Amino acid sequence: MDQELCLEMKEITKRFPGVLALDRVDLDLRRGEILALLGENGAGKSTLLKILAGAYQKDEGSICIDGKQYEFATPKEASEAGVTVIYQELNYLPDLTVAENIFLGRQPTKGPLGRIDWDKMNREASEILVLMGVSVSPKTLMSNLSVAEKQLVEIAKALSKNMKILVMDEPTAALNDAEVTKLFEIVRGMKEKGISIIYISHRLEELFEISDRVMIMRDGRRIGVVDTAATTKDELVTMMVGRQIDEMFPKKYLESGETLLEVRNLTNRTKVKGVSLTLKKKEILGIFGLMGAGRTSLADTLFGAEPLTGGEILIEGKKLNLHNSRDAIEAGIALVPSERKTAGLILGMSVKENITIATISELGKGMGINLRAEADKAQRWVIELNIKTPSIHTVAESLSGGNQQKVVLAKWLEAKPKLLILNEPTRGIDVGAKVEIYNLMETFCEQGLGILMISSELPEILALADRILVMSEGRITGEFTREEATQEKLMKCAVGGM
Amino acid sequence: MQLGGCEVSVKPAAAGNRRKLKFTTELTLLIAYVAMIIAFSILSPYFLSIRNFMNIGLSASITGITATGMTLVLLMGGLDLSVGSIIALVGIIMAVLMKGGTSVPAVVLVGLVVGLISGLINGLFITKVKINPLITTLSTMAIYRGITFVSTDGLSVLISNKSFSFFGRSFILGIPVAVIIMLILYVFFAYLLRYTKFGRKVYAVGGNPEASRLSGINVDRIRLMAYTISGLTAAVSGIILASQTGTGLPNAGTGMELNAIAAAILGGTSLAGGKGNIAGTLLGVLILSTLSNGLTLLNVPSFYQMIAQGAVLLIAVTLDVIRGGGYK
Repeated sequence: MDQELCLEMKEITKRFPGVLALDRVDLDLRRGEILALLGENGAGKSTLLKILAGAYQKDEGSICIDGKQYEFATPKEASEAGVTVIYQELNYLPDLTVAENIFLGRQPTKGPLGRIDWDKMNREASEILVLMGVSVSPKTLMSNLSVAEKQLVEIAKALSKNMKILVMDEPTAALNDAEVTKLFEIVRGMKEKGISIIYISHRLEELFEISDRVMIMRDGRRIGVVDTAATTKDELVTMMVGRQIDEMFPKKYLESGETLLEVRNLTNRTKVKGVSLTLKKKEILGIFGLMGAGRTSLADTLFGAEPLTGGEILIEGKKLNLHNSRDAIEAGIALVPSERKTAGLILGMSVKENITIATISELGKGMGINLRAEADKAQRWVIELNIKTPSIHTVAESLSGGNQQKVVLAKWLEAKPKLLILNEPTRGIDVGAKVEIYNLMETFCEQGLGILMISSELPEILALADRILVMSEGRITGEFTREEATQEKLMKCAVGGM
Repeated sequence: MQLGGCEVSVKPAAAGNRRKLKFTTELTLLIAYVAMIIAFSILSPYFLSIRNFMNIGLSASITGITATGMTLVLLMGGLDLSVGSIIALVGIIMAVLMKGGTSVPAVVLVGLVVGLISGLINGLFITKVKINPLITTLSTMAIYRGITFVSTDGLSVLISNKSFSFFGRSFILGIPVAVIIMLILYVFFAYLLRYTKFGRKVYAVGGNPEASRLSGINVDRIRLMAYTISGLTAAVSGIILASQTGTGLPNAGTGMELNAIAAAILGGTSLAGGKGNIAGTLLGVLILSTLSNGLTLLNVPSFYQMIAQGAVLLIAVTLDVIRGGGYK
C-alpha cells in the first residue's frame, strides 16, 4: 500500500470549560486508506473530527494535509482544503432536487444574467451518480429518497468537489444490510481513487469488513492504532473500554415471581394486531422485531400514549383503562422511549428537574415544590445510577448519551413502577454505559420489577432476556425461552417466516 | 475495575452554564437600565425625581401587568395576541355596567370574569380544537375588539363613579395603587414559576411538550390554565386603564400585546418556550417605559420614540444571540 501520508494531525489539544476534551492526540492518515476511529461516546472522536472539519478551533497542535500546514477557522476553509465530513444528521434541503443539493451554492450558470444551467447541472449530477452506481434520478426531490439514498447523495456532493479526505460519522446507523453493502462498495471505489477515509462506527463487525487500520480513543487520548487484519474484536473492545468483553453481558438467573402483566388480544389503530403476552415479576421479556414491526406502537399503547381499539391490559390481574400516560403511571407502568432527546428528556431543563418531572406532584404538599427534598432525590439517583454530571443543576442537553439515558431511567425509577418498558434502551450509547444499564436492569429485576425490553440488537436481547417474543407486522410471530433462542431463529420470525 | 468510562460529554454547549447565563442576561439588562437612568439624569433636569419615577411606574403598570400573563404563555410555548382587545372589552363592559349603577366591587368582579372567560375561550380553541395559538388569538383579538365597537357604536363610555378611580389614580404611602398591584403580581408570578408544581410544568411543556405528556403531565390543562391566566392579567390591566382614563374606550390597549411580548423577549424569555423568567420581564418593562419617559422629557417626538423602542429590542436580542453564539 502507498505509505504516503495524506493527513497528519499532531498533538491536538482542545479544552472546554472544565474539561480537557483532547489531550495531545495524533492522527495520521495514508493516501487511499480507510482508517476506522473507535471509542466510546465522549472519548473525543467527534471533537477531533470537528477540529479537522473547521467546526471547532484547536488550542494546540498542528494539521498538515499533503505536507502543507493549515489553520482552519471555518468549515468552508476545511472544505476548500479537500476535507469533507458527512455527519450522522444529514444536511440537505428536502424540497430541492438531488442535482440542486449536489451543486448547492455552486450551480453551473449560463448567459449574462447567470441563469442556472439546469441541463448541465442535471447531466453532471447524473454522471456522478452513475459513476457511483446509484440509480437515483437527479430530478427527484430529496424528501422522496430513503435515508440510504440521501447519504449517497451527500457522498456524490463530496465527490463533485475536489475531495481528498472523507470523514463519515456512523454512516450505517440507519441503513439495512443491502444498503450497507452498497455503501461499502462505493467507499471501496473511492479508496481506489486515492481518497482517504476516516470512518466512525460503533459496529465492530463493519470495521473488520471495511477498514485498513483502527485507531482507538479513550478519555480524550489516543490509546493506540492497530492494523485491522492483525487484531481481534476482543482486543479492540478491551482497548476501548479498558476491560474485558465477557463482562459486557452479565446475566443473573432469577426465580421469576407471580404474573405481573397480562395482555390479551391487544389491537390499536396503527400497527398492533391482536397481541397477547404475559410478563412475570423479576422477569425480563425481550421483544425483538425489525423497524416498523409495531413494537413501539405496542409500547405506546401499554403506556396509554396511544389508544387501544380492542383487547385488554391487566396489571396484577386488574384490568386497566388507560386514557393517557398519567393513568399508566398511576397503574405502575413506566416507559423509557426510544427517542431519548425528543420524547425522553426535556433537554433545556436540569438533570434534577428531569429526574423529578414525572413525580413532581408528589414532591411537597399543596401547590409548592419541596425543593430540598427534590434536590436530595436527584442527588441520590445521580449517585445510585452513577450519572456523570458536574452537578444536578447541569442542563440535560450537555450530558453524553449514556448519561442522558440514565437520567430518563432515574425519572422512571423514581416513579416506583411495577412494570418498566424499555424501548431500545441502549441505542446510540457507548459500551461502558451499556454495561451499566444492563447491570441496573438486573438489579431492579431482583427488587421485583418486571421489564419489557424492546430491542433491535440481537446480542443484547439474547444475553439479557429470560424469554423473547418476536414481532412482525403487528403480530407476535414467535416465542422462545432463553435456551431455545438463537440469532437465526429470531431473525426468521422477524422477517415473517415461521 | 472502573465501570462506566463514559465521562461528561465535551460539547461546548456543555458545562451547565445555562443558569449562569440566565443570571448574566438579567445582569446585562440591569446594567443597561442603570446606564440609561444615568444618561437621562444628565440630559434632563426633570428626570431624576421621585415624582417622575412614579410616572414611569404608572405608565409601566399596564404593560407590566399584561406582560406577566404573557410571559407565562410564552414560557409554555404559546402566544397570546388577544390581550390588548381583552383590555378594551373589560373596560367597556365595566363602564356600561357602572353607567347602569352597578357597584364598584361587583363591576371589578365582572371585569375579572370577562378576562378569565376570554382567556378560557382562547385556551379551549387551542387545546380542544387544536388550532395554532397565533391563529386562535389573532382571531379572538379581532372578535373581542369588534365586540367593543359594536356594543358602543365606536364611542367611548364615560365612567362617573368616583370611587372607581382608586385603581388607576390613587396612591398608598405615595405609591400609585397600579404600581403596587403590578409589583404584587410580579412577586406572585415569581413564586408561581419558581416554587410551584404548576410553574415547573409550564417550563416542562414549553421545553418539550411530547416528553412532558409522556411524563404524565396533562399538557392541555397547563395550556388552558396559562391562556386563562393571561386573560385574567389582561383584565387587571383593563381595570386599571379604565380607571386611569375614567372611560371605557373601544380602542383601549391597541398594540398592548406587542408591547407585552417585547418586554418579555427583552427580558430573556424565549419565543420557543421553556426559557426565561419573570424578573427579566419586569426589567424589560421598566427599560421600555423609562426609555419612553426619558425621550418624552427630552422632547423627542413620539414617532422617533417608536424607532428607539424597536431598536432597543433588536439590540438586546442581538446581544443575546452574540453572547450565545457558541450555543446551538
